[in-house]
Amino acid sequence: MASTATNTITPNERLGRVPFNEFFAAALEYKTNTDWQGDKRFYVTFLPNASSSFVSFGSITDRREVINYNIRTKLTGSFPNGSGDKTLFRKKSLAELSTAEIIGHDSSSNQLTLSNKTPLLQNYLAQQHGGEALHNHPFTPPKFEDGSYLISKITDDNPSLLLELNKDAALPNGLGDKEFIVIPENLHPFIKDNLEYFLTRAGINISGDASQFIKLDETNRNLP
Amino acid sequence: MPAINPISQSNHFEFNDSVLDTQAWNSSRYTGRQLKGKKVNQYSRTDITYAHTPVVSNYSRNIYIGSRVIGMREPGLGGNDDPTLSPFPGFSYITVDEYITVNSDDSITRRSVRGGRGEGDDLNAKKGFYQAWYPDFPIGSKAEVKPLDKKLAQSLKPRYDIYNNSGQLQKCVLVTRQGPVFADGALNTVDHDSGSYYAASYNTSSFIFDFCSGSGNPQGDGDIGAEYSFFNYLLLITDFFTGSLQANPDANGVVSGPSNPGTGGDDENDLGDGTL
Repeated sequence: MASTATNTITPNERLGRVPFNEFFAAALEYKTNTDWQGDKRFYVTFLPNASSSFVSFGSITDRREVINYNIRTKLTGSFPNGSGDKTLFRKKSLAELSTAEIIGHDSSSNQLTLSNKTPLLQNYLAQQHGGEALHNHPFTPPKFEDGSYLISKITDDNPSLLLELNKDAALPNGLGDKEFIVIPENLHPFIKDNLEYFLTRAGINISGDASQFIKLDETNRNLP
Repeated sequence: MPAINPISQSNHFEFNDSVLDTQAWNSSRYTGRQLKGKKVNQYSRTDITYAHTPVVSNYSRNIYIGSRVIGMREPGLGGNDDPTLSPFPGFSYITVDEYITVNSDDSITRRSVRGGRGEGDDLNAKKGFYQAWYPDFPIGSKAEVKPLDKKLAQSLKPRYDIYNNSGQLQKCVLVTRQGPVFADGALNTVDHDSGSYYAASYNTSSFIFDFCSGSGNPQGDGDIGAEYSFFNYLLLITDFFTGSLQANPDANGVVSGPSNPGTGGDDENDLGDGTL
């Protein structure tokens, strides 16, 4: 998808309980009544506190800039203070980025149900509530003091993998003149041994004039 | 009269119990049929298997043709390649729209995520594509990104962990706690602080996220003590929601909340403020 204007609207208003519930009800109904749910899934990402001592926000004056920061659960301030086994917060999934899919909504109790398929790795509790006992609790993790969050929607028109790949560092000159391929971890060894051969047969010429001389390496052909 | 025993003793055969411990006896019954493997597609020293072959094999025969690398930069290092996305700094989306399958007879089948013959065909093509995609790239497994330009300067890792495989997250609504509202003409005097009634709590045991306290904020009917921002309003949100998220004012309510709403001034195309 081309980079397009994002049509940001920041109303000078406060968020209402009833309309916000209507928003979630509409979103989940939109997902339910469809042949294909892949591009109608919604996610919530918990964000760090803009004034947190754990995050350097520089000279940010626009609260919307908070979306450019993450609560990465393996980093200090992003998991509960005093946690023993910190490996519990390293998960290599959206959970490590404090993100989970929204799968249910209850407007009577103002609650969302998040997916348990890639469950979040810890509780997220914003700064204690001044009024009710239900929300009168210490905040955790430290970065979630203010309790900001972002609702997102998936687009799947172009199948995508989210990788921890720093593009500027890994590909300083972009991708070059030719295509690139993405290989599953479990690609059959026979095919992996003969990538150029099969890509050439598929019409992707990566060896120039030498393509006609590529021979098959039969070593792993008969692996089960 | 004693009961008639239909089974009579025979002394014509004897059984040598020692054979029960032999490999030949066991291998055809239990031990020899039981294989143990630690990993899929890999032999480990502790495996019980034939020769050094993996106990369980699950190979893909698909090679995916990449189309874009969409980078998301750390704050201060430039904008993201696609400003519609929810940022995950330091990460990239690798997008793909075709793959080739190497069949067992070495023939090649090329498939695209797009059908090209109308909406129904596009959807069928997408469903077919994802049937191969999800098993080939499960979350938590690894993928190799391999540029075909051999002269390209690059420092890619051999493999990358897959954090998500279901598409790209596009930002919709940001919710932040409302700051205190100060009294007119009285610096540092808080008129009211609806944000103190703000709630945002997720519990791992129930998978429930509470986004509002029970009673809301007494300063306004249903005011949950938060500010909000829409992103991609025309691109995404109007597909399923065209109402307003504004809190209803009551007699004492204040709906024009943020003292510093932070509008405009970024690299995006603001439509301006206003009631939706």
